[in-house]
Amino acid sequence: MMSRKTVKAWYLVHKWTSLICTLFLLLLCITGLPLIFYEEIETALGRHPEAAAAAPGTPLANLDRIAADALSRRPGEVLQYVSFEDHDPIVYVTTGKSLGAVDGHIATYDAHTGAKIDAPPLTEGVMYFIFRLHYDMFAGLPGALFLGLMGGLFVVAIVSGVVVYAPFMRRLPFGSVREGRSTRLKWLDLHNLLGVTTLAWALVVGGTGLINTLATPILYLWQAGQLAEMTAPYKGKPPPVRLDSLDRAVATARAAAPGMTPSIVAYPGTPFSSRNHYAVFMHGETPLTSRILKPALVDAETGALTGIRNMPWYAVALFISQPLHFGDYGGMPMKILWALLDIVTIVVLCSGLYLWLGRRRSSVETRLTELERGGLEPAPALREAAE
Amino acid sequence: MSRQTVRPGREIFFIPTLLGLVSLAGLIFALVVDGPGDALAWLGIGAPLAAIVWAWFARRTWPAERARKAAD
Repeated sequence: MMSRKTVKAWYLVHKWTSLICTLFLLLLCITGLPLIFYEEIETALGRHPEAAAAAPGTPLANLDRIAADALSRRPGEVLQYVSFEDHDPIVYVTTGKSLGAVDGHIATYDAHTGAKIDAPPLTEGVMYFIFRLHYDMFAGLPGALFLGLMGGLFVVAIVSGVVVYAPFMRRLPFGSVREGRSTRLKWLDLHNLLGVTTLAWALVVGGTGLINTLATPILYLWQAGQLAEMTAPYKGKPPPVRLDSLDRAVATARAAAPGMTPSIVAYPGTPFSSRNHYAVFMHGETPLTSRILKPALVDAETGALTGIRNMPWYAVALFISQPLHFGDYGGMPMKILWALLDIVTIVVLCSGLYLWLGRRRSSVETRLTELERGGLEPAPALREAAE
Repeated sequence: MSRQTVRPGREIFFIPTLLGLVSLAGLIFALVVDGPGDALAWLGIGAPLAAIVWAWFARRTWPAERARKAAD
């Protein structure tokens, strides 16, 4: 059994980590709820691009033609990325004022016909607004990293919550909800029950959320590490005068990675490639391998394959964190479970806040006694209960 | 509900640990399988929700009930 001093330390850790992160966690849980159904809501709002129906086996349109069309519609801009929708024959072309610009313009194309689809911009609309609130509160990298820090505190709050669960439950069977004595006792019991049952899910979603906020630092790490290594022979070489065919570069990458599908192509000179290469990121087909990207670097001047490699562990950790955070890898029932677990977490956060507000003026010692007696008031109430 | 016996830690954490492991198994299982296997994953991920519903119906107690038990 833990000494009172140990319990006190863990109790204080639980209290302070929770207090600091609760309001931000509420923001994350509330905005996260509609984000679980991002695609469904966008489709219902008529914002999801629709490609023309095509018979199976219909050949894909030439990507060079699509890219040239996108560029011709954006005078003064450069091509940055070409990406592919996972389940629909849709191609997106991103152009920007410079190769490194982050506020690029995205044009949508039908992958079979090569025709431009007039779709509402991906970076507008209510779902995008909610996404930005959830991702970085419109504050860019510092906002994302700050929310990551809050996610880290949430993980500490969960762990310390589990520790103080032990002295609280010493005399209570699992799942006790004592009704009718006081509102506080009932919510204390519910806070414990809901918190401890959803513990694993909350740790996974909280932890993977934290990893997702590190996407940009992880990109820098990959650029300085594997990308620099793969393109070392090109060091000091001038950028290509004329770019070889994008369509051929994608075909070369496909041939080098049998059974894999292109996900996104980065143009030479963008943050995801070197000055001399098309970086074609390929992905597999199962729920797990479809998230893990494998870059094929294709010489942008000669069209020859420079290399294809698995990404380093920290990038793989990021890729695996994405489905585990979004809950989008097990069909609609999984999304509904995700939403219900999210709601349970909201109740845990709110009940924690309520329990703190109701006991603000009592001493830490009183609260420790309450905790060690399974939520019962000191002496008189305990005597009454024992009778 | 006995107030006299103090439960050891392994007993306090038995059901929470079980629920945690079942949840994790479901989360990972859905990543590696696709199709009908997903249903097993849903069971695992949904287990904590089932436990909450069970506790609400089976483990909720009122003071009156306790008084009646004490009188027996």
